[in-house]
Amino acid sequence: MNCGEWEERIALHAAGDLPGGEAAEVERHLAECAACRETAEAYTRSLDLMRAAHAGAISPAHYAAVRARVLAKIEAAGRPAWRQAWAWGLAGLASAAFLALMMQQRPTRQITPPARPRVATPEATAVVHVPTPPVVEPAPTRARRHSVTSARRAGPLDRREPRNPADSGPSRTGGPSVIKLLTDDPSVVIYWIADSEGE
Amino acid sequence: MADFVEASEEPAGSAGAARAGDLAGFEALMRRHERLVLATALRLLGNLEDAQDASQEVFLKLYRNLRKLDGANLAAWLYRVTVNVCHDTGRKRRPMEPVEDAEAVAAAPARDASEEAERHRALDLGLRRLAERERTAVVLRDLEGLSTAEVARAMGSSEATVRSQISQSRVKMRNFLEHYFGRRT
Repeated sequence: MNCGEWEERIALHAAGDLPGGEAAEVERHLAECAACRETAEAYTRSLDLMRAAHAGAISPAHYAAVRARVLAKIEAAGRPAWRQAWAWGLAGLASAAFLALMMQQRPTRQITPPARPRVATPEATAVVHVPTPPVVEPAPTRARRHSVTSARRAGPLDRREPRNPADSGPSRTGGPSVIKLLTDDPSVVIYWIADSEGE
Repeated sequence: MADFVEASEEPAGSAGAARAGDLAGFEALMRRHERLVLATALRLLGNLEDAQDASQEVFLKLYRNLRKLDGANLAAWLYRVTVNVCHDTGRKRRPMEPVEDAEAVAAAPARDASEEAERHRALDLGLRRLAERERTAVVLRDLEGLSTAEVARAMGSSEATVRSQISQSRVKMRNFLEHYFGRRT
């Protein structure tokens, strides 16, 4: 008889997991086969050992730790909304007070105006497009001819602004003057055209 | 089996108080079922830290579903949820120690360990050698004492499948334990 085919049924029979008919069949075989009786006893010992190892393997402290964690989670989740809002509001007030204190203790910085003089025109909010007047060069005197020639030689990069606007050509010759007004906004530039009478 | 039957007979006091939102009542309910949940999770996951995390999740699910649950079926519900949570945890975390390593460790049992510690170690290593479904079946049936029908319900499986898994698991466990203890069992 090949007892290998009985192994799984004996394993099930060891803990009473076979239905009535199959259990009776296994018992009849065990009554006849000493090797299978030994196998059945080995399954019983194995199961006893597993159950003994499983029982009492966890100390009470581990259960208590789980309980504490669960209760803490439930309490945190179940806290009333107004208590949570009150806590957040308190935290916001504390932050604002801290920031205000920091701002008071911070030294104020003096903003110095730029060294370059500017004509401030706070009223000028709109850009007025004014046609550029024709540049009329006056008849050069000897000194003037020299200066224009040297300016032409120097090229556009080396061209220098006249030190005094009153020395510029048009004003000296009585033609219209173009005054460039710089505002605080670099994109807004105002040109003011004035005739010899300053109008 | 005794545990399961005992846990099924839920006293109206703690469950009722817990349903009414009483935390002390819920704590009493946890005390009553904590061994069921944590011990099962420990055997399914193989380490205490993961088992405690799984137990926490199971009890939080219990708290959220308390009003819907029937006290008479609470233990069955807890086994089913514990199995599901442990299976989810097992899929997310690193795999258990490979079988080859477990056999290598078993080949050299700890010399200074007590007999009880040796039994725990043998059980742990033996369960590691089983597939997830086999391990679940043998833990619920042989360690927790559920009937085959109850195991099948907890695992969402048929009784025939569970019986097959249990028989294969017992064969493997017996062979491993005999190997581990050198036929001293």
